[in-house]
Amino acid sequence: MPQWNKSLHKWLSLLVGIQLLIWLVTGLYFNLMDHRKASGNSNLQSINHQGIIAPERLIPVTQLAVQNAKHIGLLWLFGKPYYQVTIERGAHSYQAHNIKLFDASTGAPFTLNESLARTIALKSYNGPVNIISADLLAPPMDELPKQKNPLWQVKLQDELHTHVYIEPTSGAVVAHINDERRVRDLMFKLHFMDYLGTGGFNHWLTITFALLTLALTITGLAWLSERYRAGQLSFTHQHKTQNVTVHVSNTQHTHVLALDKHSTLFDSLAQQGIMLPSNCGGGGTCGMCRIQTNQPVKVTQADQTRLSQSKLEQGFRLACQHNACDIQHITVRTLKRTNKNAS
Amino acid sequence: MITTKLRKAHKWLMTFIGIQFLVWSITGLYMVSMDIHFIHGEPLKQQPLNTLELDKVTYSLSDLLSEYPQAQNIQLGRLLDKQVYRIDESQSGKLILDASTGEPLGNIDENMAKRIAKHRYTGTHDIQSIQLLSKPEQVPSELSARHLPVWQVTFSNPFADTFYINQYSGELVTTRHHFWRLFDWMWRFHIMDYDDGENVANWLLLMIALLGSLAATLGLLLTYQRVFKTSQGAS
Ligand code: FES
Repeated sequence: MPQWNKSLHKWLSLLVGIQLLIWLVTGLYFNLMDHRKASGNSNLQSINHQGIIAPERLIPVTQLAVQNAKHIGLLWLFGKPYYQVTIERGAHSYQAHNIKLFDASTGAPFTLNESLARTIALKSYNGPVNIISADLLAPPMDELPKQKNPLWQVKLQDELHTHVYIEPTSGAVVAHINDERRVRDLMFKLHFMDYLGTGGFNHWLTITFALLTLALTITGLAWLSERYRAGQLSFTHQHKTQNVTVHVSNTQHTHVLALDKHSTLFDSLAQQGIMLPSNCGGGGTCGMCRIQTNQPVKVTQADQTRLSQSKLEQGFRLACQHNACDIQHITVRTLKRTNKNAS
Repeated sequence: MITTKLRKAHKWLMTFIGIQFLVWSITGLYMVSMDIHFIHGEPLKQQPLNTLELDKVTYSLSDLLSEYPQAQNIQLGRLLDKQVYRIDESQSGKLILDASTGEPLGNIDENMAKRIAKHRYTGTHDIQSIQLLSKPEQVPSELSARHLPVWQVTFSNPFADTFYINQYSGELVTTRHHFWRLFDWMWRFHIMDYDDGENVANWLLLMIALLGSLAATLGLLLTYQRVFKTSQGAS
């Protein structure tokens, strides 16, 4: 496996590591969350607006002062009928639309005013509650970033700091946004990397990170497959050992150790208490775990990159790149804190 | 020594769950790079352009309510070249009434469904197949059973654009195509729900995401060690 694969893996992990962890943790949240609560529906209840009217009291739609209507619905609000006239509308209700209301018994244009918005807010809430304020907000709105139409925002005085959003063109409750919902929305923002507040996930930042993460995964799996081919990922732990003569140059001690054939020398020496210097923990990238042998041993990519040609010719290799079955006599220089008392 | 332990733990954890990281990366990349409106098939649907001609509504809402006092969800709109009311009626269910005569138009037949599909389709391809789905066991996994009964109209393009048209109302209830179907599979693999693809709260995802968080944290520590704590260079 080429050395650049490992350093690419390292640098990619530096770039996307934090976001990767954010994806995992927010993913766990979505896995565990209570859907009803997280949607802000803890106190949401439906309102029955249906009423009765003598049919002859409805004025004909021909008398409405409106042009270019595409669609007209009969809408009930607190028992009174209204004509809901759609002139323009997108596929989703949050997209910009042009919808007008008319009183169905007089034909007069109708606007959903503040006091109606307040009443709807209270009726949509299960339990007694007070209103702090009611405002007609124009988009964009912080709590509903996708919304392109004006909405009534009624702030309630409850523990969850509920804001009720009401569509003036229908009287429909768009959402109860409370603290539980705010947590979910924050999690979505983090998961979708929507740090610029687009309300969606189709943007260049997350696409770039997804590409880098894919590269991170591929380099990681390539590294694993290299380990596997080097016999360092065997699932059947057979612990076959092999005797290796280890000369520790700084203490002038020589040991004969039974080392695990299918672990790296670096790991199996560590198991026996012989600690080689290392910064990468056996990754083949720091080049500090040098050993010397007078046997002919293959030169791996990592040896090549980390050791000079003269060192290689003198029999230096990286302990983390070779298994005990390759070498029977080695000379090592250990860390000072190594304590090896066996002889 | 601690680095060695970290590295080994990272290696072994990733040996078991690394494949799912690959799956998450690929499926996530597909989902964020495909425009969601395109996936929903919005470009395939012609938005109705014709406005209503109100002077031709000779059967008024008063007439309608006298005849159907129980009518709910009354909507005046278009069905191809006709102006119609769509209503929910407690006895007869969903009805379509001609807005100039008040005459019930009956359910959408195959011919009508084809005309609606062609009228709304922005593509140029012909209809390849059409069938009526009315029983829950006929519902394909790409359609929610609440839309029944529907005409399934499939066009002959390579992505099998499919329109679902409600048999009672003649409304285009939903649109599917191969990019949507692929997106749906990507979603299932992303949330690791391999039975019906609807449940994010499954234990498999929980286990793998927990192990994954651990493995990723160890990886981050290793990177930190390598990048910021390297004191001596290699020879
Ligand atoms: S331990 Fe770093 S190269 Fe061997």
